[in-house]
Amino acid sequence: MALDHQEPDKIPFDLGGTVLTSINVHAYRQLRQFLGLPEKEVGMMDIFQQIAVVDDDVRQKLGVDVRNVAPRSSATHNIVINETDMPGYTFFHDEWQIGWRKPKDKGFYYDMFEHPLSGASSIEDIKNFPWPDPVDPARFEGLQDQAKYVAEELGELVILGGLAAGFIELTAWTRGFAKFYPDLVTNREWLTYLMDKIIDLKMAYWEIALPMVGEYADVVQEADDLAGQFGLLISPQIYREVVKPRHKKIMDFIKARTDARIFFHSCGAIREIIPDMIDIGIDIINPVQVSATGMESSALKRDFGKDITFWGGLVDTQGVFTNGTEQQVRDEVRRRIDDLGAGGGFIAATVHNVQANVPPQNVMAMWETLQEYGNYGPGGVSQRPGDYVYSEPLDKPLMISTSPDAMPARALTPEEAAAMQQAEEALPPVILAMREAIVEGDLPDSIATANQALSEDLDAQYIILNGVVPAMEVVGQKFEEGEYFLPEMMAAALGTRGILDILSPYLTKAGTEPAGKAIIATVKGDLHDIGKNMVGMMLEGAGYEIIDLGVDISPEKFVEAIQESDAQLLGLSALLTTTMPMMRNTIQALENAGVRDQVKVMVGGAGVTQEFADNIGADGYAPDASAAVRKARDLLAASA
Amino acid sequence: MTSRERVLTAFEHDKPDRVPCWCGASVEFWEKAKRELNLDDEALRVRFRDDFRRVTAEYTGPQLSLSEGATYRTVFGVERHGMGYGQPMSHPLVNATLKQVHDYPWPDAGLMDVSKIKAEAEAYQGEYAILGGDWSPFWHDLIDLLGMEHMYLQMYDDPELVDAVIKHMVDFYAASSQRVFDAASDTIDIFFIGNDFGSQMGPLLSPEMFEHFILPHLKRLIDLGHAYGIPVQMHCCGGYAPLIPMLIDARLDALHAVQPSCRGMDLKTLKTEFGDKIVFNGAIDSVNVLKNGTPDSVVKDTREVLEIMMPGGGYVAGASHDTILEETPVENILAMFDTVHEFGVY
Repeated sequence: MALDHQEPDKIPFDLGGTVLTSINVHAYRQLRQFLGLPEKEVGMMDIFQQIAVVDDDVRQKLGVDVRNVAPRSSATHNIVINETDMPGYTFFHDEWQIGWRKPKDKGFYYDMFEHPLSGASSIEDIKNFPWPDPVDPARFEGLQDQAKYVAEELGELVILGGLAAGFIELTAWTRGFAKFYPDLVTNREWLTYLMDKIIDLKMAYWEIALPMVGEYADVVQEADDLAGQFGLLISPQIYREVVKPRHKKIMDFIKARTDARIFFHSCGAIREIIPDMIDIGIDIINPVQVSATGMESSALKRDFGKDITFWGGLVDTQGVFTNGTEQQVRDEVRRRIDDLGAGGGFIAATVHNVQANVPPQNVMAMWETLQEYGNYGPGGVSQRPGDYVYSEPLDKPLMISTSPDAMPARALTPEEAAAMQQAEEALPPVILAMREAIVEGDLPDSIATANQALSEDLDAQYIILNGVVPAMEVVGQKFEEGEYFLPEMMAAALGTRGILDILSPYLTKAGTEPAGKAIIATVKGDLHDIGKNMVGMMLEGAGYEIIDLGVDISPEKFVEAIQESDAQLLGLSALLTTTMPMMRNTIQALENAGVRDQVKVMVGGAGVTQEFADNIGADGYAPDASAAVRKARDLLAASA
Repeated sequence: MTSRERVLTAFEHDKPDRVPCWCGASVEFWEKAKRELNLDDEALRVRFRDDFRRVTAEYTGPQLSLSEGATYRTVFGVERHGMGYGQPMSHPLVNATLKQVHDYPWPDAGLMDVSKIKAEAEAYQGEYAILGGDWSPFWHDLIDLLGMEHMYLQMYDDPELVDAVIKHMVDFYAASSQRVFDAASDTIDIFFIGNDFGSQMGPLLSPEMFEHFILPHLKRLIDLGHAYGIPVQMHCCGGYAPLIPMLIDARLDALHAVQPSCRGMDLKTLKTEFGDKIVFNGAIDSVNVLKNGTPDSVVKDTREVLEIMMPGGGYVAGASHDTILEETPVENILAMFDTVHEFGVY
């Protein structure tokens, strides 16, 4: 019922239903012990992530409603774990020849260390690669019986697993990230050949699996990690040109063969492409990484809740779940239930697998809160007043969401902040180094990383979107938070300017449009330009083209500048209360000249308030430079 | 109680007969008020119940002609243009080396004529609290000389050079004030210095940077005043709450221009946390209360501020921002000071 966007008796719960909503073996052993369940050998659901098979006694105790039905390994490839040949590590190669290793000392996960196609250059190299056999009969052994058993005997929801990870992931893993990103821009034809090869394998698998499992399949699982904590790993343009049509092809292929719903996993800040996902027929998204930029749960529910089911988002597996008190976990879970639960369309699960160091007390605090507040009907999810007060407010630093519709900032623990960094590791190192250089205000390093990124054939716009923009957001956030002051902000802006100087010829070459064009100046009579300059630099850092008219600019000059350019934004600054009325005169002059509708007018300065801005007919006001960037984005988005 | 006794009692965190009044006004507002009320300068000060008077040294150095468009030249030779104090036309030390900084023609404090100060102060016959000493706006001069953006970057790239520029300026200012005090310390009640370290969003510099670049020089000026037995009041705009503990540690006596609309400048918090350690002067909002209000709303808002700030002394009432600007209605300023007179009574 929940998948039909209707309210069942209570919110369904998933722990261990997929390899993406399960629990690490360490945490699982502790949980069993905590629940007083007998010690037993724990099965491994996925060796890469070291997650456990959740046993029936735990499933019964916790009331898990869904079950994974997954193919077996191919008979032609046995994973051989090598303990001896790499000092400090155990390692193996998977059936795609990707090398994985885990530190022997306290290693929780396997990480990639070898990419089999990193040296490949021709189409022949792709053709000749020893691809795994997707239709090896060994994979499908018992698949049908298992699905039938789960559906008919256990009466649980069947989630049918796929062949492997997403095609973008497999492309990047076989090729290696360092080559993958430049290839997207400069070697796209070859790279898409590789992608299409992998997609063919995935479809060959579905072609056998779907008819075999038939009506027993309730949910079909696909995935591709498309975003990090701050935003997309691939620009929206490239996503729409390269990725989306290929995902659509896979979804169409699946939809033609089953009535099951499509469950799609992508970590990170995917808000921007959720409409695209809905568009290509995805029914369910997972893991709903609510701490990522723009992924505020109430706004997601409001904007997309009718069209897509949220599977996950119950509690972020980093942060309070790991290090918080039980009460903090309860608060977080309660909030997510209230945000996501109303009207069905929500399957309660943690954001990704429960990590190794999550204490069992917190797992149970989550579960108990779900039992207490996850019911529908009278007094249930949809009928509670939204006035819950958190008993233990979370500490700083704040995470500011860049989504125009997102809820106010929420607190983020240092552990979450660290985890955020981890989630970013998929980016090319030079992009991460660039962010660091900007945030640290290091001009030489900023310039060096820009040159380095170009020499790695990264696209200029990709560099700006993934290197400069997120870094300046961090700087703006630190400024708003009182951690950074003008010197630090200035240094960061200077580094950004250095990078943009280097990248701008490549931007024009690629014919890339700036985020927008803005005219800025102080109004007539006012010479105080520091605020205006800060706004200009921050907008520049956010990818806008700036026409800075300077100080003491008459209404006539503003009119001329608008007529001569195709700017969409006009930023008026005034420090003095005596010159503030000149803002009104300037707006009036734009109206008289008939150019008022060409631009959104933003005002700011010491004495300016929202009330004043409304009063003089401005479109927007921002109290500081970093807020001005958000306001600019909102205004342009609204007028687009 | 004379005005002088009233102020000094408040500065000792004791209760005078009523809260002292402070009126800082722009020339334009002052001329407007004189016109509207038909009063001369001193009569207007009395009407506004201002408990302070100010004496200043006079620059007697060579009078260089100003460049075209310039309205003012600072003591360090930076020409400025535009309304009021205006904006710098150039930044003479923007690309200077350390040697060029040392070689810059720093002014000689001997050029300030202090001979008339004592007589000027004595003319008030002990009635008012006398403000004296050099205003010493070395932070603003630093911005003029290096250019604001460049200065912020230099604080990271070449802190030694920034330190050197500040030291030269404060050498001048300290010597200038010392000459004033040598000539007239027994007639001066408060050493008044000024710098703006806050924006509406908070301090311009992080507390760490402030401690490194600014605090030692402020401390030097504070110690100078104290050496002559004179308490020190500093003017500072904006939200500077995070800097207050350092200023208290440096033994600053009073902070002028408390702007409650700025971040961190909640009056109740300031009074509770720091009210017994430092005098607050100002706190009646220049824009929201005085400029945009009516006499009735000014009375109400002023009474609210008094209720928070006056307990136990240590408070001087006035506009949150020196100076009161021309567009402020005179009747609102009268309402503010009359309210202090009526309801600021201990």
